[in-house]
Amino acid sequence: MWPRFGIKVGNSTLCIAYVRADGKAEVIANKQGDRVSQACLLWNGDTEIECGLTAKQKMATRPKQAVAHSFQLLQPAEALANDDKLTNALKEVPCEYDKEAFVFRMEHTIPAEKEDQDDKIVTKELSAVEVTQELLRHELELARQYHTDTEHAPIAVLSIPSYYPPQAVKLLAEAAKGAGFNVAQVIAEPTAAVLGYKIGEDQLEKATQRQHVLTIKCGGLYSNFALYAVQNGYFIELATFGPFSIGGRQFTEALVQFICEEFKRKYKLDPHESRRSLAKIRTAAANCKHILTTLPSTQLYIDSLMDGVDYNAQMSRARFESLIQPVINSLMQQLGECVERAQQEHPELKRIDDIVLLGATMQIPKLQATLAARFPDAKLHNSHSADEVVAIGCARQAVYLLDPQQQQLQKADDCVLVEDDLYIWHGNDESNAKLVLSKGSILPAKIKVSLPQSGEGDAAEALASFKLRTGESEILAQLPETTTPNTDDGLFQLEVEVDWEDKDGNIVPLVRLRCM
Amino acid sequence: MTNSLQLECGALKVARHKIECVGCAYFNARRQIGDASGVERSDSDEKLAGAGEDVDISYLKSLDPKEWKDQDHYSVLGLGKLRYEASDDDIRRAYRRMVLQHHPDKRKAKGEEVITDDDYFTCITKAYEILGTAKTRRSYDSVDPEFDDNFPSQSDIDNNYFNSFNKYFNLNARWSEKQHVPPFGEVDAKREEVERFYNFWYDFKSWREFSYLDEEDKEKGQDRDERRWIEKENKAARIKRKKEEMTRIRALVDLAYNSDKRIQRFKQEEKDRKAAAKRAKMDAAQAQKAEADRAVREAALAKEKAEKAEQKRIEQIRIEREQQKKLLKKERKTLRDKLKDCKYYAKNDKDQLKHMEGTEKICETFSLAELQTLNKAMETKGRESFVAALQTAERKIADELEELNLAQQKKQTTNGQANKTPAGVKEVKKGDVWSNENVQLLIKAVNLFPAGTAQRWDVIATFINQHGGGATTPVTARDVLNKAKALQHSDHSKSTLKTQANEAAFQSFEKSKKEVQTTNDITLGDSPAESSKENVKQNGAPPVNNNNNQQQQQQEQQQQVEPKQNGVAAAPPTTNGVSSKSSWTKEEQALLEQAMKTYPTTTPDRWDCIAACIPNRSKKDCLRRVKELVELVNSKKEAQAAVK
Repeated sequence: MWPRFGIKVGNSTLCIAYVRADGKAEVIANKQGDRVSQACLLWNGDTEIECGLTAKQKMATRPKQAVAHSFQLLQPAEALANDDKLTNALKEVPCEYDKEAFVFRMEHTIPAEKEDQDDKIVTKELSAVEVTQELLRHELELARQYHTDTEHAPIAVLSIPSYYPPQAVKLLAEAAKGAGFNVAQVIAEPTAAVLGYKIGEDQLEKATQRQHVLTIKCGGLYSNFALYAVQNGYFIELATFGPFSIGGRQFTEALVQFICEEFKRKYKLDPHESRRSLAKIRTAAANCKHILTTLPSTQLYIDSLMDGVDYNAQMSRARFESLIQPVINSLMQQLGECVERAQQEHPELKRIDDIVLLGATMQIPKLQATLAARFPDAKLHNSHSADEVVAIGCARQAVYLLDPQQQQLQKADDCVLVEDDLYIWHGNDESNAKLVLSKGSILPAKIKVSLPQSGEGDAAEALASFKLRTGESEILAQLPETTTPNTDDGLFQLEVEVDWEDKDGNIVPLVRLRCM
Repeated sequence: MTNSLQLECGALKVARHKIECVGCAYFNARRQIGDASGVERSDSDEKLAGAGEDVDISYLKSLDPKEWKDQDHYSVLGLGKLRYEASDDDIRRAYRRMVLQHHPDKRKAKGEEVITDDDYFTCITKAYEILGTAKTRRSYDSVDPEFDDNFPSQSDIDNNYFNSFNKYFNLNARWSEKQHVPPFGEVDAKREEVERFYNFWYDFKSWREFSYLDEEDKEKGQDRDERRWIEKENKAARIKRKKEEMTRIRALVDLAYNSDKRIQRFKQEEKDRKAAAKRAKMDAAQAQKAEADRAVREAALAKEKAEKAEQKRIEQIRIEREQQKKLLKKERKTLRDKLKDCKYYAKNDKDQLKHMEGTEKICETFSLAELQTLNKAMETKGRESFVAALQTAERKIADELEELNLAQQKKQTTNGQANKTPAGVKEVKKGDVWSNENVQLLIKAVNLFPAGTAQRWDVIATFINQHGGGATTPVTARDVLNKAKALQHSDHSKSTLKTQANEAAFQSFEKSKKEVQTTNDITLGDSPAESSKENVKQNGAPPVNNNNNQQQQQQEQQQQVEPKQNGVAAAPPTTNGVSSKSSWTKEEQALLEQAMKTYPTTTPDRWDCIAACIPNRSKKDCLRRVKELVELVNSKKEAQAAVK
């Protein structure tokens, strides 16, 4: 049963975390030593399929054989019917995509053996599910380091962006199952991130105020926001917004534009003319972006960028931040609008207590600083690396599973919650009142309480009467007189069952008292 | 007891929410709903539910704390039923419960009298001590007194084989170091399952160990030596017991295996299968053999039939032929008879003779049909038809003859190349290939391409063809090889080539000397030719060359005849002596020298040969000339020597 795994699948990266029996979740590094794997796939024209960093590196030279950013297409056909969305998504896919058959078509040109022969072109078609399956199979290899049981597939919890339709969840589960995982649950990415920071766990011990959590995801291509209310350890999704096409790509693009301009100014050569030069700049810019999240400055050096001219520049974080300021601004504007809208819909949402960042782009220090400035009251969670927190959250979720063998793909459960505390006592002795249900508990619930007897004599009537209080109102509960509750050492052993009944759309709570 | 109450509680505020199916709290709630017993909100932090059964106080009191080693620790803790299946948690909880109930302090509080020295509570702590730690618990489990070490009885085996063994194997399975012990299975178990089961049990690794039964505790030893001795003793005892245990398991498995009907069935099946396979193989072989036999027989039959048919056909043809012959004979006979009867239509004896001959001629030449028509015609027309037939027969014979002649002539023309020389007509062609030039070329080529040259004879052949002027038919490698061999085998001295060369030289000489030649010369001139002819004949040179020689000789003769005619008329006659004594011309000298060189001293008839080489000079002349020359040379040498 152990260890269990949490996997984050994204457009640009995948991340897998494992959790041992002691409950500690940890990210597994891949062969290259990276904690996140690149979601790229490269077909070598024969039978072999490469995944990860090597595939991404080769993608620049052989775009027709590579699939990247495929996860956005892992959606049911109806969801992809929207032409605009599809065209946008396909901009990021290097190889051909068949819009009718919903498959990636990779082409490989085998050079002709003789001069006069035509080159042979072989193609391979992979659906988005198959691509995801291939990528996940790669993650399984990493999981195998810790999962030695060959008889049972490793138990895994997967994440999916919250805006994906339920059918997509099924597709993802299918892909993971095909890759060799035992998919126990598929949860929403923001939820996983909130779990990853253990928000709401302290509420289990002591009842606290309801917490409002804002999750901001900014991944490789898209960003989206979600608002959660956390109470008694329960997560309630209040609102989700997105996806907005602001992602790491835009940040990189800002840097790319800068490099292009500078190069043009210096050498009078326009890198836009050459696809290869652009690809080189893009790689260098992405690299530079990653470095600048941790270091204050870096050397930007591109060998033989165009016509044999090298590019060399010092890039400081401040300069970078000034370059990406417009992108940050647009993101913040988008976020501000969303939060406002959410506050209109949910009046109780006065303040935001926690902000959870997820997605690799959220690691940019300037972005975090801007957020902190925008929400000064909220606690900004960024102790985990933003691109790993989802996987960690998934792994944590894997710990809580009731029955890991049973697949659960439903994201949310419709539950009835108690809005107020419920107390019970015997007779009129309110000082001995016991809390039956605290605010935010789920119905139905069954609670056993032992109540001390109030000192009001041994009259049968008094003996069988209990009182319940919720809010300001008190209810008298008189047990049938025929029954004499057993008193053991002056304690009543009571079983309180609180359930609800649907009466014409109104939920009516029911309390059942039973004396042991 | 239905002391329950249900009431609506409208005051309790509730709301419906969509809750994410994640997190600890959610699952806790879900677990509670699923769990019928519900959660207990009581002050007591010890949850002892399900922690074993109550223990009879009298049983506990009957225990002797000093004999703790013999007590049943599980029963002491109230886990007598769970025994080895009890989890660590069960044991812990059971122990806590026992402590709560039986701790001396508690009992004292209840007013019981407790003797601290010899209290049964020690048994409880001891039991927990043993069962609470994995190692000691294991050693106790190994010697669990409740465990049945026996084997199923024979009657059990006979009556209820599967149930009894199932029970015993399940019992023993708990000692297995490996998890997932294969089940014993039922009657209809598959072969692999059964084999897996027995493989597992014959390979059984047990964790059972007998340290609990140690006679003495190692720790009780006074010093190191004693402890070591105790340990040794214990180890030996343990190993012995372990061995016994292994033999026990082995015996159990053997017992099961030997009386396992499934194994017997599998063996039988295997045997049957092998037998069936063997039979099938044999059948196949037989069938193949039969098939082969049949094929052979059929082939023989077909052959015989064909032979018979062939014989019949031949016979038929023979019979037909005979019939035809017979008919022919008969017709001939009738013709003859008829003619005889008619006296050959003769007018006189001579005529008769002629007609008789003619009759025979007709008989020979006429075919059956012609004879028949003739016979018929003779019946009506008599003599006229006979005479006509006679004429046709004669014409036929004449035609035949002519044809024969023509054929011969044709043959001659094709072969003869319009050569009028009657001798060697057939050989001319071949000889032609090896004309003088060609032979010279051949020698040149042979020297040019020494032995060892790749495809030497082909190369030589092409060389000859290239340089041979193309007048004659091209030579092949085979021709070249044959010729070269012939040249090699024949002596140089007798080589026609040489002769030819000499003759050629002579001819050129002749031409230059035409004027001085006399009639005598002609006769003399004949002699070398003749001698050469003789030479050739003697040496048995190939006829090709012989022919050439003859041709050349003839040509020579012709040439010589002309000057003779002229010479008679014009040339002043010169005597033989003059010619013999006349000084040697340069050409002659050269010829002589050449001849001397070509015919070494070893050659038989050397001087004959040399003389033959030089026209107009006899053997004597040559000898004389040579002697003169030798003298000349010698005198010269002497003179030179004298000068020195």
